[in-house]
Amino acid sequence: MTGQYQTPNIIINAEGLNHRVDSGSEQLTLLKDINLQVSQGESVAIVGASGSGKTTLLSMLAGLDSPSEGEIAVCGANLKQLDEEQRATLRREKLGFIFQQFLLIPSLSALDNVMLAAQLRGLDDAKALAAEWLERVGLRERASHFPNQLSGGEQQRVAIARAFICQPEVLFADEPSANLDADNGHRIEELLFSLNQQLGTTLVLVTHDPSLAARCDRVQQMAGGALSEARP
Amino acid sequence: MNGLSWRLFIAELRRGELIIVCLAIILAVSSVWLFSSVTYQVEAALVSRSSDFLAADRVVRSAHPVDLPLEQQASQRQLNYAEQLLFPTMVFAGDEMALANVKAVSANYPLRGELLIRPALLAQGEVSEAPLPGEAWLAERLFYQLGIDIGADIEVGDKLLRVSGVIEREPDAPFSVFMTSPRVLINLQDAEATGVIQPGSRLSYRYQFAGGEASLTQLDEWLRPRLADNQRLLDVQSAGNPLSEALERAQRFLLLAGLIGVLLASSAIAVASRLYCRRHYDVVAIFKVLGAQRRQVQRVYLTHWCLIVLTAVLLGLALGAVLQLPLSRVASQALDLELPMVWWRPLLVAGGTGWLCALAFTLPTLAQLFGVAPLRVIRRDHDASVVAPWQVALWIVLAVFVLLYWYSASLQLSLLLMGGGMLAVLLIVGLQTLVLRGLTRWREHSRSLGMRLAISSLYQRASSNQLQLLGFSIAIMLALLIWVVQRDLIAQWEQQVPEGAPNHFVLNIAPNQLPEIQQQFADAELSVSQLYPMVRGRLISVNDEAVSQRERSDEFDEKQSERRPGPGRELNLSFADTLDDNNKIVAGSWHGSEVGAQASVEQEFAERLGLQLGDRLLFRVGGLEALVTVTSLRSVDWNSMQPNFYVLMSTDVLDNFGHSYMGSFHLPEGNSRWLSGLLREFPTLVVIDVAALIARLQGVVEQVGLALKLVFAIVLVASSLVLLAQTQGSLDERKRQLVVLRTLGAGRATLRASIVWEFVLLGAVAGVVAACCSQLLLNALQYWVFESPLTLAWSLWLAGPISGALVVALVGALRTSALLKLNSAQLVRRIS
Ligand SMILES: Nc1ncnc2c1ncn2[C@@H]1O[C@H](COP(=O)(O)OP(=O)(O)OP(=O)(O)O)[C@@H](O)[C@H]1O
Ligand SMILES: [Mg+2]
Repeated sequence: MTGQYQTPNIIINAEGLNHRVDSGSEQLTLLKDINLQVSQGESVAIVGASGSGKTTLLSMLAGLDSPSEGEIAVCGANLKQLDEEQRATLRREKLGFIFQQFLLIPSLSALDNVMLAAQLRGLDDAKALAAEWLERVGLRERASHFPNQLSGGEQQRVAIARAFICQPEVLFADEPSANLDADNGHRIEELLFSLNQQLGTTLVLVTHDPSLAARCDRVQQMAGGALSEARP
Repeated sequence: MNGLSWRLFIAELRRGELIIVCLAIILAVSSVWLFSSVTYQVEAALVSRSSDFLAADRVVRSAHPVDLPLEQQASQRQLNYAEQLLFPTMVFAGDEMALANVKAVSANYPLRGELLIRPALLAQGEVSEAPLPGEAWLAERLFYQLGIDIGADIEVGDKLLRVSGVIEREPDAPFSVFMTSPRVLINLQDAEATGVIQPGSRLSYRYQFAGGEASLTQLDEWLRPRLADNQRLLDVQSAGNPLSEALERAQRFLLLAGLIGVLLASSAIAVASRLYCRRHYDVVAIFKVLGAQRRQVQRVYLTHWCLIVLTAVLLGLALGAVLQLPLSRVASQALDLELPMVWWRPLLVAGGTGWLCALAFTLPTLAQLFGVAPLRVIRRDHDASVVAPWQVALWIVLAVFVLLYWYSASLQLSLLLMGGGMLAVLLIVGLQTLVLRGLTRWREHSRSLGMRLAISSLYQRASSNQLQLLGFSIAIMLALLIWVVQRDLIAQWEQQVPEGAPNHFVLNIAPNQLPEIQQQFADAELSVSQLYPMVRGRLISVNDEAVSQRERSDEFDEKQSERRPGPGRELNLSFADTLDDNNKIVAGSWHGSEVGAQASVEQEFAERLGLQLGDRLLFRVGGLEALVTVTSLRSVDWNSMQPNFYVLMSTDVLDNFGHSYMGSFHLPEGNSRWLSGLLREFPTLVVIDVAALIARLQGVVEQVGLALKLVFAIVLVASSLVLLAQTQGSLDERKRQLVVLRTLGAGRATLRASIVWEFVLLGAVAGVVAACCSQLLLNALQYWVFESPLTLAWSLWLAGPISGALVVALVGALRTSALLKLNSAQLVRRIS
């Protein structure tokens, strides 16, 4: 693993990220000269208009996609130097992800969906843990239901439980409270920040919710693929 | 991870694709088991009795007595020795008569194997040796034909014998299934007294030896140089072969026919597994986002795959084994052979086929699945294909070829079938496209909204429908062919034989009986055909070049294999100076009453042996030789029911040989009494009833029909599976369309009509294509096989589309009926 050049408490370091894709005849620039440092235990909110490139950036940081240019180091590992399998290991051991579109496995029950992450990680008490996390997101009675039997908000909460169960070092959340009512949204917010405070989990959130953004240590503004510090 | 993988599996089972894969494998495995096991059983039965076949270790066979000190040679070498004489003749009991195959055996028969004789019709078989002089043992069939029981007297030729046993098993029984008359076993001492043994009679002498291997080898060495070309030395291998070769051919045919079903089943596997994998792209992407290694993903899916294939193969084997029971009973009866259960070889072939199909038709899609990138969870279009389509195609072609080669064991045949199969598929697909095109044109004229929707939907899915259309076309075509051949073709062929054409053949008329027998026919006002003198002889050489005496092309004999091809058996030779209507000279000129050792040869026979005008043929008849020159070639109408010969010689050749006469005549119904009177007076005569021959032919057609029916059933089920798989794939799309139509206010009736019509039309298209193809095949059969006039079978054109529409609509409705019952709210929930 590389990263000797970083100061130890920088857990995410993205330098000079550029990403372009070919779309038909023209080239689209999705990310433009992005530099982002996140320290361990910090919480960062990324806000911006729809289509500005927030999800794209998040997927780069989590090692799901590779930028056209630039370097990303996460948890001391230079993503460029890792192959697909090593990046998967990194995600399994250290990163959590909450998606905009929930992404539950339709043929597994809510409980199994939550358990999946823990089992991939090799945790022994996966089942008990999963039940506990479902309880925490208020879905104890829905444990045996399948995704298509759950409402959008309920599915979102299952996805959140799945992301929390491994207590990742860095948690990426792409609009985690978008589908939730105020009450549940608030609950998720609490969960996120308690994780952040108790375990020192680093949070990178994409959100349109001003109150959620306000609770973060920093807010970054995304516009047309470029990132800038936003002062609330 | 295991529990989860298991639950994922259980949940997936409910979705249907895996069940289709499972069913398709079961179908492939059980049908291959079915087709291979019975032949393996027969083979095993043969192998386990291999030295029994000859009822000895070595046999010398000849149509004439062998003039060598065989018995003395045997006793010198401490070998056991026995003799047999076989001849066909009529046997009588009171007014009843039947054609039988008489075997006269010496006292120590059989030298090897067991002869089982029942002392009464319903008794247990007992191990026995030859019958005593004055006694006869009969095959069970004869008891019923003659209407007699144990203790009755029968006449074999001039000899009266007492029936004292029922033959249950005879070690050296012949294996030709359709063409043997029942056996009568008598003592060799009685053979002479029957008066049947005369020059020109159809006789077969067998000299048998059994003993130690070393002595047998010495005997071989002594015998080989001394045997003439028309005397054959058989050992266990060379004797066992004729049937196993026929068997092997039958098995190849069945397996290759079954391959159509296997391939269709494989298509169902491919379609279903592609659907399954498609649906799992997201799941795998999520797995990977959560940090699963490729290895873990592979483990989950390969475990599922193995579970499915293993279960399906096991179920398929079990099903095959169960279905086999009635089939082997039929085979056992037809061959009159007790069949042992055989496990390993069909297990290998059937199980192997199952795994191979599963491998070849799912692995490319699985590889694609394993290669799904995690980024897919965010970008749906991120579907870089890991496996190129051409790779998939190559992979499948390779698998099909492996199966072909495995089943046919012949590279040439595999290539031929592969090419032919591709051509046939192209033809059928071309026809389908044409018919579908015609259908869309018709859409404009249709008033029903449901019908119009159905046609558009059919057209829109045309390319994915191609496969199931192909399957159903083949299934319907098979059904139509079986039907029309059994119903029409045979009947047509029978009708073609002109009224009053000969319906009996009479053989074995001794020259001195000739005037008297002709008188008898004249007295009874029966017209008899030209009576041809006949001898049995072997072709020895052509233009001094020795011809091969091998009876089969695969028989290896160093001395023989370099020679030019021969007929491989003794021929019926005849002599004539006039030609009847059904012979036409096509080359050279008919020798007529000229002498000078001339011969006229049938043209196809000449072609097969590479004979030309002017060739000199040397025949051996008994101990004598005849050298003739080919001076004409003839074409022969084999359907004429007249005596026909490959080789007709000028009459001067005749004088040297002991010969008998044969001819044919028409016996009006109700004259069997006259016939039995004639035969009683001339016991050496052999009469063959053509009606019986036709009945046997029908038997053959029926047996082939049975095999084809099995293939048909398998193809039908396989096509239904393809249809189910394909429908499963379009289910989501259909749901969406239904929701849209519903919200637009379409009534239930319209919706149902649109779905039902789609399947009805699909089936009808397959039916039309099938009718087209079977009409062509029917005409081909008429032209080349039955040589009857070509007919247009209207019934095909009706039955094809109707049966197709019915079957496909039924299968399709079964899968989609649940859709129609759902209300809009349920549908909306299902598609989200
Ligand atoms: N492979 C690609 N090809 C073409 N366009 C792409 C590709 N990937 C992303 N885009 C485009 O890049 C832009 C940024 O997408 P992204 O999903 O990052 O936006 P977002 O900020 O997350 O928006 P939202 O708030 O709506 O989720 C979009 O306009 C999207 O269509
Ligand atoms: Mg987004």
